[in-house]
Amino acid sequence: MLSTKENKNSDIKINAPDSFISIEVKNLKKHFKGKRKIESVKAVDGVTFHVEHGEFFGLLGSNGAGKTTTINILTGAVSPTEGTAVVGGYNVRTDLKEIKEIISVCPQEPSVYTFLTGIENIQFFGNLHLMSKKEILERAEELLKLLGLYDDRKRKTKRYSGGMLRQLSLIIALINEPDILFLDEPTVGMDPRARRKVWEFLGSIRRQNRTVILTTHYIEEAEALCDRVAIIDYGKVIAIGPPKKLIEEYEVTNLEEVFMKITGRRIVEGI
Amino acid sequence: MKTKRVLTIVKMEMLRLLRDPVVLVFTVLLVPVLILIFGLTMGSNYGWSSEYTIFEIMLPGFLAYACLMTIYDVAASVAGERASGIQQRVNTTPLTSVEYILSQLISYTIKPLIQMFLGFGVALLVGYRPLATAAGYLLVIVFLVLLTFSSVGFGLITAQFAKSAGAAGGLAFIFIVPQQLFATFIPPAFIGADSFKWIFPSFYATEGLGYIFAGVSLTDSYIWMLLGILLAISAVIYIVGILVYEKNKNK
Repeated sequence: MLSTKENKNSDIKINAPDSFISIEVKNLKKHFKGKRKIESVKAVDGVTFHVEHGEFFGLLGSNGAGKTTTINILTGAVSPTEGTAVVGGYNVRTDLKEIKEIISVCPQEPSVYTFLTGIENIQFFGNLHLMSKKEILERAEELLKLLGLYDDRKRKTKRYSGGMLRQLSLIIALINEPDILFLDEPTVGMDPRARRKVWEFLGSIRRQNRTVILTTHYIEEAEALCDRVAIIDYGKVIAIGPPKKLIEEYEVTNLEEVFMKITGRRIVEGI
Repeated sequence: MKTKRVLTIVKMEMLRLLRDPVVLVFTVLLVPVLILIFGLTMGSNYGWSSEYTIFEIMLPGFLAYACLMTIYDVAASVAGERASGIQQRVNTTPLTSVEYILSQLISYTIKPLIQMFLGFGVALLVGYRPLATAAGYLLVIVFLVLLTFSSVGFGLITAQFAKSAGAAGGLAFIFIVPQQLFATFIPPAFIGADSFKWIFPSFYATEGLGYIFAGVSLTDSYIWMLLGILLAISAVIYIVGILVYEKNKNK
């Protein structure tokens, strides 16, 4: 039986964590003060979308479009200026403690302790999620083997390559088996081979019935992995839907052309 | 509050102390080396006093100086974690502010103990024989832990003004050098800075340690006054540091 509770900050109903809606974002805004603190920068400007349970959802856009800020709001790193965001049935303004129990984030930067080994970093974050040592080691072994880092697990991460650090970061994000996983540009800066390997790995996550929010500016990544994508530009959602449907709707051959048709720019050009 | 999370952070801090070469050198090894050098060269030199050697006068200041290096450690690690995104990543885990602060309290109680045992151990090796009692040594630990907490506060404040670990490490010396010059192993009167010394937390720790090592009775109210003032200053600086950190941790 689904339970609902009233959201204090908007008129939308918040579903309990077992609802089929994992994330619901309504008219979300985040304005940062500019350098002279007079003008404000509209990083996110009225974004609305929802993500269903088990869906692999992409936020596609140029650098600076507002993808990471949206993720930061959903994970509690920054608070929204206006609007509502509900994650796993919990309001980001009032229920951060509960949200942090069910999510995990793979940030844009690898974000690991360089004086710790790979396995120690995994154990550190597993412990913060109160996992048992046995649980952590079993899960870590599986993930390390899948991503080909098992033999390097006892090396200090300062000796890892950029690609290895990103893969480790992904493993850390998955160690607590989160209900909702946020991946912020997980393959940026990787060589094509490593990227392909991560895509294969992320493809296996798709089959685990886990909700995944992926931000990317790689068209192929969004097309290959996402059930639906929201194309973001200047902090606004300019198109949303399954990649194939968007391509058909705009009568083009890929998402890059969808973006170009709407904005007149290429995604990689930035804003 | 979950003990497991607190101990996880404490373990990580201890590993940082042992494995980060810069932290190891600055916060653990530097002062024992200074004590060794000064102990060997000035252990029998009665320069300023007929009663105590230069080394005996300087030793309390060396131990206080070791605690001051915590400013560097905290500033560099907090700024580094923020710049690398680790801080933000940790903030997305269920770790609470109370658990984080408690883990810092434990870590920065253990670190000055390590510094004291190493520094004091080297001092004993080079012939230093203080007149302190067992209770006196316990009070020495309390003085050093309190000074360390003021240093943690200064470190947290410093970290907010730096964009990288390197910059924070450099800025930390704004808080370290004046305390070092005016109120640690260099006697303030020696450089004509006697009237400034009371500003610095390190003065109260150095002075307290000096009295205890000289065998002054622990019933002497001056020692407890020094401890009380150090406690008050350290509490204020630490709380300000935590508030500044909490306010800016997601920036």
